[in-house]
Amino acid sequence: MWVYEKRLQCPVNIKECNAKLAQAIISQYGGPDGEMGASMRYLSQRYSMPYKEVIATLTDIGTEELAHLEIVATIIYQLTKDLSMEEIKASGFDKYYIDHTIGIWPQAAGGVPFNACEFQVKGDIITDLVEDMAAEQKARSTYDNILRLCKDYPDVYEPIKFLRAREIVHFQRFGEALRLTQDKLNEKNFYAFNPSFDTTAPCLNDMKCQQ
Amino acid sequence: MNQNQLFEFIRNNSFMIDEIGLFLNTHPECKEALHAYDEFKKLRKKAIEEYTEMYGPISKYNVNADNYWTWVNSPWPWQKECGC
Repeated sequence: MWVYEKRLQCPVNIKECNAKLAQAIISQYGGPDGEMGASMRYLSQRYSMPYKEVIATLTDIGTEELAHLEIVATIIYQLTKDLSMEEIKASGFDKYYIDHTIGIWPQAAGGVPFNACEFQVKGDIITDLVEDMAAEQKARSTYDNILRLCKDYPDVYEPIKFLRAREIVHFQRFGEALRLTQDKLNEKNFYAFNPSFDTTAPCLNDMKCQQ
Repeated sequence: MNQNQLFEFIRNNSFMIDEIGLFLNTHPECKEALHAYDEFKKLRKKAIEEYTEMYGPISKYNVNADNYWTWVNSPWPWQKECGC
């Protein structure tokens, strides 16, 4: 069960509109490494996880990603809410405006709609946790790219910096979840296959097994 | 009340709050609904305190963190042993 709290995890107070920045930052709303995909990935992966520490990590990070989705939306909202028609035309925001006015819709910076194919739920703890670590790094790189675009806009820079820092913390926590998982694997399980589904280590040499 | 009964009480009570709160969004002056909301809110607060004290947390913002982090331990809602 989820409960909403009427607060942002990190404050956002942007004084000036900037449609160009908004078009870039929207990628972290519905783009390939954005917060929507992150949240759905972690919350969906929880069910097939064999260890409760990993379930807790996925639940808590998946929940926090929803809070990040709201922060990103707030940034885009504040960057676009007072745009004039001239600014909309001059910034190239007109293509988005045609379909969504200044509503907030999940798409990548290039206009590609949000797609669940941007994340995976493999039902294998090793596969899923390695994906999660990669996902945090991809999101961190995206925030780095955004930071390079907005370094002259401190109102935008600060909350983006906060979001970037969270990617690093999450990467660390997923790394710990993976290490904890590997500690629990069978000692024959050199290649770290799925302990929740494949219950015994495979033996490539039948003769050796019989001995 | 045993653990299951207390848990069921919290679930039902919380749903009442969800339902009445939704109604109040569009009927913010309804005295009857406001009164009912208030009653359920008090009951819920007490039941959650009691449950958390005896059986562990149901919210991450309400963990009794005296000497061990109990958030991960109890079964998760989709696990069969949970019964919730």
